[in-house]
Amino acid sequence: MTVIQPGPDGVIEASRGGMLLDVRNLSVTFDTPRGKVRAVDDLSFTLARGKTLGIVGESGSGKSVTSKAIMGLLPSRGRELTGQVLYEGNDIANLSQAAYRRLWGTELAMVFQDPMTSLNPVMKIGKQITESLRLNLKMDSQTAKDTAIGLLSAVRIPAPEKRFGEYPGQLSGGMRQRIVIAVALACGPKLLFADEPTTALDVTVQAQILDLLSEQQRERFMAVVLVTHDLGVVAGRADEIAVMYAGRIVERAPTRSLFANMKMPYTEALLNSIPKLTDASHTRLDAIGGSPPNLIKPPTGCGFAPRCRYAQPRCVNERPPLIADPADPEHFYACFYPVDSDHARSVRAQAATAVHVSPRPGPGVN
Amino acid sequence: MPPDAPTPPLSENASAGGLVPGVTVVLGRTAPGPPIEDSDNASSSKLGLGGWIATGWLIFLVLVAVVSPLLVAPPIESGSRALRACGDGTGLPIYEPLTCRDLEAKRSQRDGNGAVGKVDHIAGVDGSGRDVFSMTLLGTRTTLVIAVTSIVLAVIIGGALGLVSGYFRGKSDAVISTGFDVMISFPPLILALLLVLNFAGENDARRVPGIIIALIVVATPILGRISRVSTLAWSQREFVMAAKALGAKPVRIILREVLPNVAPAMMSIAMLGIGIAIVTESSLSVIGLGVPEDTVSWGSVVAAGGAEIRDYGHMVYVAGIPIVITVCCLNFLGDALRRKFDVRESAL
Repeated sequence: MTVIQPGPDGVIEASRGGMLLDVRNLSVTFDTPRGKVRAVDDLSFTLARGKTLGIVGESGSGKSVTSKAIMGLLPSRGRELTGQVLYEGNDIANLSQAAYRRLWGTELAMVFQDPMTSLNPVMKIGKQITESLRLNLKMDSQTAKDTAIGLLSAVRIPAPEKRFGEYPGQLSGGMRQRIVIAVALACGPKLLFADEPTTALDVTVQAQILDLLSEQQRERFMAVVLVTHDLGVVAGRADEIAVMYAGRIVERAPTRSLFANMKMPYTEALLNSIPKLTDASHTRLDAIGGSPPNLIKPPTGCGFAPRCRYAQPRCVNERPPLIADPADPEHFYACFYPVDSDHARSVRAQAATAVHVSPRPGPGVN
Repeated sequence: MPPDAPTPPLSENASAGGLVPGVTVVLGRTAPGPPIEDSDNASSSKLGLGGWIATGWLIFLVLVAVVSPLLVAPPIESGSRALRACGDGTGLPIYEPLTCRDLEAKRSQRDGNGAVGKVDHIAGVDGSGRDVFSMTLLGTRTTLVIAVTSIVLAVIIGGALGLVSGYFRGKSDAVISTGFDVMISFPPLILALLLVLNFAGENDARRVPGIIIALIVVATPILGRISRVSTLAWSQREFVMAAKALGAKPVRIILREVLPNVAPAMMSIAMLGIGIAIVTESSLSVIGLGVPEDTVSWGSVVAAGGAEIRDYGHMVYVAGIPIVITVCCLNFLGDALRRKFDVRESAL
């Protein structure tokens, strides 16, 4: 990119040119029998080489659709995709399957959510890894086998030579997810999507798998998009976090700034719904009441307003735009009354007093 | 929910499976259902006694089909020499049913005083003097060849159409599924009858191919539907998307990822299909549209027996009982195969 000009959000084009992935105003609409569903609405973000972006949101917030849309894995019928997805400067949104096939495996790869269903039960593990090596990198069978065994040991599979000839049914869930990662890493992708890679796993195995992912990411200088519903998963691992709600990004910031200076009430509610070790036992967990809005008839105002404790009439009638924090230009949020606004403070203060005067004080008041 | 909260149904499963309850609770969290792995695996690797009996019978049939024509006594002329050659009680009791028309033996058997008929024609002879037992043995080959050929071709055609419509969906699915529906809406025997009549007509040489084509047409939509439904289910699995995301082309995904998973269901239905094909072929014979006069099949033995069922009812059973046993064995084996593969799925 030779011409230096300010981009849509005022960032100089040249600085964005170095980005591996640059998503601009991505929207995905599905045709359903009950009407059009706007699953992803006007999404923009960038991702540099070797960095990690965490996409956080609850079920149905459009986080999986986002990663599948960028990967080109959405069904071609009944969906409409607008906006740009720039991968190394080329728009890959709405590419043909044949054109995507050149990117799949070698440039873009994906780790799927459920290791129970993302491996072919009737194909040996070794075969599942070597297939893509032979297909994409044109390796001969011996080289492919050696590479695959190397990959298996890289993802910490004990006795890789033995596992090479086994079927997925002979392995545990955590082991299978390691295989899934090995399959995804096989052709050395530059961008890896991990769609809830630990949701189907035991808590004890989750940390191992996430550590494995970050280790491989460092070694291969690979960018990762980590999709999860768990803020705790991305907290220590992502460089930047995008919080999605009802198909839109409602807050996006570098990890440190997001946790230090939370703006969006939804992010706050998500964080409050995680149990804390310091809480007394039998503390009632702060669940987010209600459910996400119907995306067939999206609300005119802020999608989170009906569930938000700071909501005002304005929130219901008018949609807050995604704006940068004046104090921190890398911190974006879409809220009229952010967590640190005067209004929000007064709501919290009132809530605290209400608890104090109630006849049965709830635990964890202080 | 706390991870170690005991849940009653799971502990019940644990006691049923004879496993340590604590272990099962952990397993049960990720895979609800009876987690009885050891005993399941042990039984899944075996077909069971019934399965082996069924397999044994089918292997026996194939052997009969291969060997029986080799045991046939050499063709002989008609007249008294024929009587000696057919009925001297020295050779194997298998006769070329089309040339050895042992009318005298038949007569003596009918009269009840001819030792010749009793000894040599263990199941008697039909109205044309053909040895019923020999016909049944020799008919095995024709019957099996017709049934297996037609079902194998139907599996290939129906399976391919089902895979295509189930994987690509959309327009191809609309066309193929509608085609299946139209074909299925005809009563199968009537459809087969019409096809044989149309294709073969009076031309005896085209009868056998005509029957095979009719059976293919009848079986294809059934097998195609099974293949389509199974493909639809397996195509939704993430490993299919994972294969796609690694750059595999649709043909490769269908053949390498989907087909091996669809095959078990297809195999068990194909087993049933062979049984149904045998019965349909016999039905066509009884109607008079079976194999031509110069060929024998189980169906033609039953048809010949049907003509004389009042006096010589046993002829129907000589070929009818093998038909029943074979169909039962195929059903049983198809079921056993399905169970065997199902267990591997549930252990997933």
